[in-house]
Amino acid sequence: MQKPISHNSDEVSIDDLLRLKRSEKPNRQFWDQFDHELHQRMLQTLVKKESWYLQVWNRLTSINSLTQIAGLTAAAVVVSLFLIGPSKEPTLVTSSPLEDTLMSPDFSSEVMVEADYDTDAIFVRDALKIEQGVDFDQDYTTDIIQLAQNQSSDYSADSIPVRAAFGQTGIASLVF
Amino acid sequence: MTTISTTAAQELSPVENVPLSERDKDWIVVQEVQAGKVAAFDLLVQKYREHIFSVIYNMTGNRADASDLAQETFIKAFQAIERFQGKSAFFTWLYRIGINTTMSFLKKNSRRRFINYETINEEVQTNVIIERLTAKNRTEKGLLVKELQEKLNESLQKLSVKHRTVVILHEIEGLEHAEIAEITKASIGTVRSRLHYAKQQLRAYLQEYLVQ
Repeated sequence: MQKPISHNSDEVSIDDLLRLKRSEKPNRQFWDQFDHELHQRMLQTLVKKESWYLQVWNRLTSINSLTQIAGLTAAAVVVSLFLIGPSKEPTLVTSSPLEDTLMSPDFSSEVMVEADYDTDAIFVRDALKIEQGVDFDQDYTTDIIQLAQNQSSDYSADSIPVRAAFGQTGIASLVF
Repeated sequence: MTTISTTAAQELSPVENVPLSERDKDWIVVQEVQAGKVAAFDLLVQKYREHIFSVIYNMTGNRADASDLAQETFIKAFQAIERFQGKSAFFTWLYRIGINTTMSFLKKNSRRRFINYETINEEVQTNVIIERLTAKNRTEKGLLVKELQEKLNESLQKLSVKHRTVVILHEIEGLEHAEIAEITKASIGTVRSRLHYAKQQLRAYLQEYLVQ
């Protein structure tokens, strides 16, 4: 593992000098003090209560990650249905009548924008049905589902980098 | 402190009674700690405290800071041991924690640096290198040892942290290039290159003590 000390006549190499650093060692008293202090600090660590957000985080991370993602996604869908649903319904029903909307010159562009936002074929088909004067409620329902799906997928995608970032700032931050 | 059973460290491999490697022995102890046998962690502290202290002391050049940071290293390791999966050797993982803790400390305290050297073991007086240097310089042994200690520490502190780390791990701790590469998360080539450059620098700083 190590090159031996150069026994060649009077030679003294840099390796020989550096190896002398091994002689700088603390005495027995130092280690007794060290052990005592370390035990005290470790006990403090064990006793110290974790903050609530760390407790929540630890519980979340202890669950299987797939279950976690599925659970969070489902929760996001339910929450978004409750939050977004009621606010959008009166606006759509009580605003301009269907004929007005269809005759509006901006409508086609609106449809195109929404279709671009989510290129799902079903959504585009539903949007086209509105232009043809087909059931308005059907489009509304589809709209909510699209929105909810987008939100849930964004949320789960976000949660992964957040978790990774948290791990890096924690104790085992071992990036050299 | 050492009242716990040391059976883990003495175990033999179930296959052909082959003695376990240090890595395997450590892994057994780690698993005991993970299973809730907190006292088993003391075995790891006893085994590695001098190495960890030595690395940190040589990186900081300060005895008190080294003691504090070595303790911090073990606390961090204890807190994170549940997540250690044995993919690397425990000692490389521990060294990495120690080095990262020290590097953070040095970064935070780059302007506040105090030198506080460790006492030199008396055995060094009979060291063949000291004998040679005493003969060459015709100085008193005690004075030479003290002077050399100061010069060596000063020279090490002149190196960048990355170069210093590699020199300490290889020349003082005696680790292999591959082990250093794993600890520092660098390639073996980078380790070799850093070592070469660092020794070149040290040769220039310590020229007066070299005999060729």
